[in-house]
Amino acid sequence: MRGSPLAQAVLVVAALLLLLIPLHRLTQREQRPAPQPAVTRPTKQVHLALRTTAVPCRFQITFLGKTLWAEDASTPELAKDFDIDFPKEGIDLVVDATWESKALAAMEITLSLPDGTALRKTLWGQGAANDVLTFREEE
Amino acid sequence: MGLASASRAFCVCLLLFSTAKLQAQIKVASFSTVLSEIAKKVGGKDVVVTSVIKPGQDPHEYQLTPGDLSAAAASDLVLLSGKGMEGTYLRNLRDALPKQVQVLAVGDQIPSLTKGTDEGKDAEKEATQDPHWWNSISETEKATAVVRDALTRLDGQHAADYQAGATAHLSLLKELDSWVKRKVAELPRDRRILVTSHDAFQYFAKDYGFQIDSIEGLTTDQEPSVSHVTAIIAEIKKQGVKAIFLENTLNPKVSVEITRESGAKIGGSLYADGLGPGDGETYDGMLRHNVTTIVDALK
Repeated sequence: MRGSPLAQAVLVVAALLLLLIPLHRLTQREQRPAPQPAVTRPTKQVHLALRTTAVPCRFQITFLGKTLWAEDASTPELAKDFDIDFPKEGIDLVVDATWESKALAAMEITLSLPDGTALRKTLWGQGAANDVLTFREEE
Repeated sequence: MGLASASRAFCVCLLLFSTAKLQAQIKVASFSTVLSEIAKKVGGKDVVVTSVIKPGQDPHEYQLTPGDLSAAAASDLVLLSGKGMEGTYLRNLRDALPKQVQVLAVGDQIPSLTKGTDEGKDAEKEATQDPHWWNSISETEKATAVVRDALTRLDGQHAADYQAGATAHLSLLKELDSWVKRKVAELPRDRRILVTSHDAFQYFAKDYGFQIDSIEGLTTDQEPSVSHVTAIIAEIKKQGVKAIFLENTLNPKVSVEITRESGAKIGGSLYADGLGPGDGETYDGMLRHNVTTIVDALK
């Protein structure tokens, strides 16, 4: 090879540096992908209306493992608004109700969405009742 | 009559009584860990159960042995999972058993979920049936009633005992179902995507609103194709699935590779094919372990 040793060294270094680019790309592909970002969870304002056939009635509504609404009801009808995630797959509400009366009683829960859709479920029991109620728009 | 003669007579009577009692017990050979537990709970003291398939053993890979065949031949009732689970050895078993041994494929008595096409010959239809009915509590309730009825037909004298055993077991299953529903309710419905090693949780998914993406099919003896694994990785990324699950009886190699490519983590190991060592020694423990593992990893 002709030319000064210095020029040759510069050429070798430049060639090695050029090789680094594809090497870097190749090794980057082997890296573990970052964990998936959390899926955006749209919240909606939902209106919950409760109607019980007997009072007094103590109830608790749990959503995703946390208490959403708990109250000692002395009137047969109550209502409240909540901002919650409401995916197209729907939501589950865990409802626990106890009545002072041991006669057959019912609690009707109506969930209304901002577009006016109303979803209704009823829980029956003698003295107490509990269940997981699923509210879905397509139902 | 001397004291020695009286003692001898007493011992003989005792021996005869014990033998008579042993002979009165119904002998059951079970080829399913879940059915073994059901038969013990429903049958109680009136039934002796031999568990041919042991907890932790993969029923898809089981091969009939001469010893197991002898145990089955010596029983009054043979319980099978059904729905094609015993496909590889069912004919040999039926052919080899004496006529007086009743063979009951419990799963065949309850409705099936199927995968793929239902068209074609009967043999092909059977291959598409999902045999993992025990992962649904409601199907296990039906199986309990089937076992109760079978024992009652064999031994009507103890019908009340079998009814009482079944009622107690059904009550525990109802309580378990209530617990499962509450635990699953902690997980948003749009995060109920279950990626498992093989397709064993369709019945569970139907009951509790999950979508299933399994790496292998209904059995554990087929390797997944590259295109199928690629599709699962794409689905995990698209849906933002946080975790995928291993099984106690399967090699985790492919699942670990999927986590590497998708960014999901391993959520834990599930009991897919029946009871197993550890938490899964009982049906109650198995379900609680599976549900807690799934919900806590996907939350």
